[in-house]
Amino acid sequence: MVAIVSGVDSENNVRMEVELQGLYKTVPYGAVIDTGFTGGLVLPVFIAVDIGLEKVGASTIILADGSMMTLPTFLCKIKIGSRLSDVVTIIMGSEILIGMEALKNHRICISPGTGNVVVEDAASIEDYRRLNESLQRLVGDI
Amino acid sequence: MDLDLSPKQIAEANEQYQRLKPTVEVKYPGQFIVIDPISKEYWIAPFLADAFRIAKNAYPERLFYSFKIGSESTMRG
Repeated sequence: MVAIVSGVDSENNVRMEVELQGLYKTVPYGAVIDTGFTGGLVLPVFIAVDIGLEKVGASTIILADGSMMTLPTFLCKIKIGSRLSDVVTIIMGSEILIGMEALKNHRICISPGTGNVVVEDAASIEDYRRLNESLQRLVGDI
Repeated sequence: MDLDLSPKQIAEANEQYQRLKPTVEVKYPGQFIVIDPISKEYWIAPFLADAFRIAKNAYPERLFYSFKIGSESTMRG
C-alpha cells in the first residue's frame, strides 16, 4: 500500500498529495480536499494551461452562493497513492481543489485537533481485510 | 472561457434530456448522462468522468453536454 501524504495546513485546509497528469506535463501538488465540491477537480487557469487538459464538453454547476453557471468541462488524470483515474475538471479560482468524485475510492480520517489526516485506498483496505480473514480461517480463529 | 458548444447545441442537448427524462429518472436516478448534441446519442454512468470518457471514446473530436439525472445541476461546489 502506498502512503498518501496528507495533513492540515496552517490555514486549517485539509491537504493531500496528488499527481496531476496533464496532456503536456505531470506535476505533484498538495491539493485541498473540498468535500463541498461534488465534481472531481478544480484547477486555476494557469495550472490548466501549463499541464494541458482534454476538453470534453460543458456542465452546469451550482456554486456555494446559490448561483448556477455553465462551464467548460475537462478530463484530467489524477494519481492518488498508486491509483490513477480520470476526473472531471473545471477551471476556476486560485487553488487546486479535490472534490468528492476524485475521492470515491478512498477513505479519509481527519483529526482537526492534532492536524492528523489519514487517506487510504479503500480497495487496498478491503484486500487486506479479506487476506486477514483468510489467514484467520487457516489458523482456525474463525 | 469559451464553452465551444453553441447555445443551439446546448438547447438541443437539453431537449434530448427532456425527452429521456421520464425513463432515465426512474431507471438511473443520481447517475450522470452525457449527450452528444449532434447525433443525440447518450451515455449513462454512475460517475461523471466515466460517462464523459465513454462518450469521448465513441466520438473523440466531439464535445458533450452533461446532466446529473434528477438534479438541477451536474455538480455543486
